[in-house]
Amino acid sequence: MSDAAPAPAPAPAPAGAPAGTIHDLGYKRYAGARHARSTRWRVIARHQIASAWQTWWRYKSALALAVIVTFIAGGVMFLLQDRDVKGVFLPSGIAATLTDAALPRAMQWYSRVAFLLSLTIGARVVAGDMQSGAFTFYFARSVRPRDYVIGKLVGLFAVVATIMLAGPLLLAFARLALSDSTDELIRLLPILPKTILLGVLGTLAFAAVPLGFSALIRNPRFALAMWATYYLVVGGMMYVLSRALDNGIGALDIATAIDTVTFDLFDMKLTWGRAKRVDAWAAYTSLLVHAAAAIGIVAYKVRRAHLEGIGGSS
Amino acid sequence: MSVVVADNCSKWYGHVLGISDVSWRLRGGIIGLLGPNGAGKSTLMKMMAGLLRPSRGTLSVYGASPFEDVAVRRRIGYAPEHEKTWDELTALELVTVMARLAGVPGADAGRAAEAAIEQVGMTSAMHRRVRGFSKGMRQRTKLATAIAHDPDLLLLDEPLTGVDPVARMDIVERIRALGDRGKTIVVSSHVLYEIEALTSEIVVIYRGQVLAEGNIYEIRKLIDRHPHRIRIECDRPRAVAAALAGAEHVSRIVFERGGVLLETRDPDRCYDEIAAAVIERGVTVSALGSPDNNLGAVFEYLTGEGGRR
Amino acid sequence: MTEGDRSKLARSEARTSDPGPRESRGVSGTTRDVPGGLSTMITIVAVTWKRVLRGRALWVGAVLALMPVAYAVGMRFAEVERGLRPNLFVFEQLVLSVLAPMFVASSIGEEIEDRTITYLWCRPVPRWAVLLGKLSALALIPGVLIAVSWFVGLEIGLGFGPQARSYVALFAGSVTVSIIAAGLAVLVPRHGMALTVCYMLFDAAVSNIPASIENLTVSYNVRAIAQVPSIADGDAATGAIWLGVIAAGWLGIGLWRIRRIEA
Repeated sequence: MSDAAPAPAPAPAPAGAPAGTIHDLGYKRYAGARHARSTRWRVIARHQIASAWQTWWRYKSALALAVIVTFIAGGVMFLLQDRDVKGVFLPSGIAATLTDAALPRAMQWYSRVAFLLSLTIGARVVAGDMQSGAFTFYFARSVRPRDYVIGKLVGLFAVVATIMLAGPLLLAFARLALSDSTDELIRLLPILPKTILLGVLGTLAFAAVPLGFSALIRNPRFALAMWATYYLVVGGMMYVLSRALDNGIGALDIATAIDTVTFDLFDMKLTWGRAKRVDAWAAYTSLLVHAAAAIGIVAYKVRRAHLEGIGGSS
Repeated sequence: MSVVVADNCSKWYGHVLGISDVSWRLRGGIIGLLGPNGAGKSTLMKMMAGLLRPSRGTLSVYGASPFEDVAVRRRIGYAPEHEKTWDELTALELVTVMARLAGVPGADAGRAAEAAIEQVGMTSAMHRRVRGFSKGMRQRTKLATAIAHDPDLLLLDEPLTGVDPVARMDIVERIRALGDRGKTIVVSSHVLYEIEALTSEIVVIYRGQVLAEGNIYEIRKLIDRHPHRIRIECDRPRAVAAALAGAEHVSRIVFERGGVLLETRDPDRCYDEIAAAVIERGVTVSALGSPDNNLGAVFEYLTGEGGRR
Repeated sequence: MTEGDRSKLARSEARTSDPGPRESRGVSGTTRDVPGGLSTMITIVAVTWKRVLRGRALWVGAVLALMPVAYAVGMRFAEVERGLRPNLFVFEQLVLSVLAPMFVASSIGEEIEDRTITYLWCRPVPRWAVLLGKLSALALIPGVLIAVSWFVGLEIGLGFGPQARSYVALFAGSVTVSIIAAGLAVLVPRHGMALTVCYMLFDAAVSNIPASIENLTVSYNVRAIAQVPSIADGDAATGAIWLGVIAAGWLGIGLWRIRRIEA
């Protein structure tokens, strides 16, 4: 559409005479400030969060479950404070109480909720965009592949963080609030950074890895099936094999790795369960390698799709 | 018997009103369902095809509700607006399956499918998978699925969307041929010249309501408050204007490059007077026509959209 | 354009000849039959199989189904047999929880979401026949894949194949999970697959509760029919009955809902 011709300027009016102006209201190109290209990822991230919020079956139901977990764990923390937990011990050898163990135990449930969330959102993201041709819209604009990847990752991270980070943080604050004395409060303060670290690792696992599967396979339902099978079946197999073979292969199971990291950070030893079997450093490494590999796959696949001309050049 | 009878029919989707209190009868022929995007054309088509049921009121096809009555759908052929089909199948397989599901017996279904494919000009591509089809080929295939079981009522929702001009002409001819064979055809579109190419019988839908129905030209005549425009391209437009300026039925004269535009409330009389004037004054006329004898002008008047000069 | 003009225009008559009532034979002489439920189902089964065979779902399903075999390979490599059969069976059940929705829920859900279902709804076919036809075509595929995986896993891990009743259990489980997937896909087309996987995870968790509620789970009843040592509790016949009840319930939900879907 071409710009309309500007209206001719009126002749200057004599001094004191009434003046008038005609304004051309036709189409004009936007001439204002534009954000730097490096901020495009923010738009994508915001859109990712907004679309997650859309229906009940995506994010809201997972959030509701996380709230329930938080309430139950908080209730247990408060009401059953001095009850010992079987099979969970502090470094001193004393059995941990439910107040201490509620948060680490709750992480297992947060992980389950985060997995459910990844089924409805995470595993469909990139595959859905590829299948629907959304890449054309992204890359016909000044969006680079890295902006897309960062935006999707940050958006998904923000959504999953409300499950894996916000909930545990609330429980951490609740634990601090249940301190008997100022000394105990000060002694317990480190659980805040530990919870943050744990939340970040867990969020990274449940945001990046399903995104990786989603980029690996162009079909959203196959991507979802592969991610679910990897998490449930392959992970379970790794855990069972580590029990049979008595080695640390169980760290490859994301659920086991998160459990192990949780109890390691909170200085608790287990006599049973998944976390018992796996070395803590293997668990940390597994989570970081999972996330890094997934991000690498997403970056590679998106860049390749961009170069193959699914979208326009940036 | 009317083919379709809508009686105070309304449909809403949550808070969005699809069609509002429509009472309408379709008797036969080729009918153009005209309206802007979001007017309610597809809603009405889907209700006739048995895909939606009215939220209020009734809509019957051949005396039965197409949503409830399975048997009446045997007489309906519907080509939806969207492009998605079962892409893994070839065109022949797709049309054959659709024919079978419409009640054509197994042995006949293949023959009927081939005949339908031939009718839409897709014989050369019928063994190719739909996945590799262009837009025009998909539209033709959709049309074939709609006609394979020889329905009495054809509902074509935007059948020419995205089709190139050559293919468009071809599909229009084929639709006309189907109409000549006695089928009742309802074609919906928001592109006015597509409807004009097919039929002069229209139903105008606007904001969920039937705004007008009937012959384009008869409807145009009814719009008597809005003058009819006649453009005369000639060598001496002022002479023509001078001859007609005093006529009571002429409401406006506008000089344009190479001609003059008259607005009149009595076009028949105006044409007679123009003829007399050009003969009397020796004016050479290179073109004479009316920008209003088309669907676009009718639509603008009816909906108040588009703004007139 | 005033309201008076509009109402005047709306009353104007379109011309045209009334074609009169149609005879029972079509213009081209074809007979006008309304297909019955069974013939509709057969047509739907045939076209669904054709589409599955031409797509990639079977390949992806085969890859997923063979994942538990890796566990058997690992155990064989470690020369450990203890716990192999029950663990392998649990893994097969987990894969079934993913495969059945991948085939059934996405097939039905995507048809509704993509609106290709309009081609079926506008035809004189009973809607229940469409649902049953798709189920008939797809419900056994996950069972077949899992049965092969179960056989191969046990052969590799233990050197002998499974008992016949375990095959029956897996097929029964496949059909039941497929029906659940169909029901959920009809209720929530876009997320039917994800919700079915979630449902089956919840099902697996509840099946371990030592109370009568376990009878309402697919996992517990499949284990009961299979009678795999160390994980089977209940009676096979009771398990089969409860599976039938669960399947009937979800089938009822699916059939009730599909009659009301508007495309």
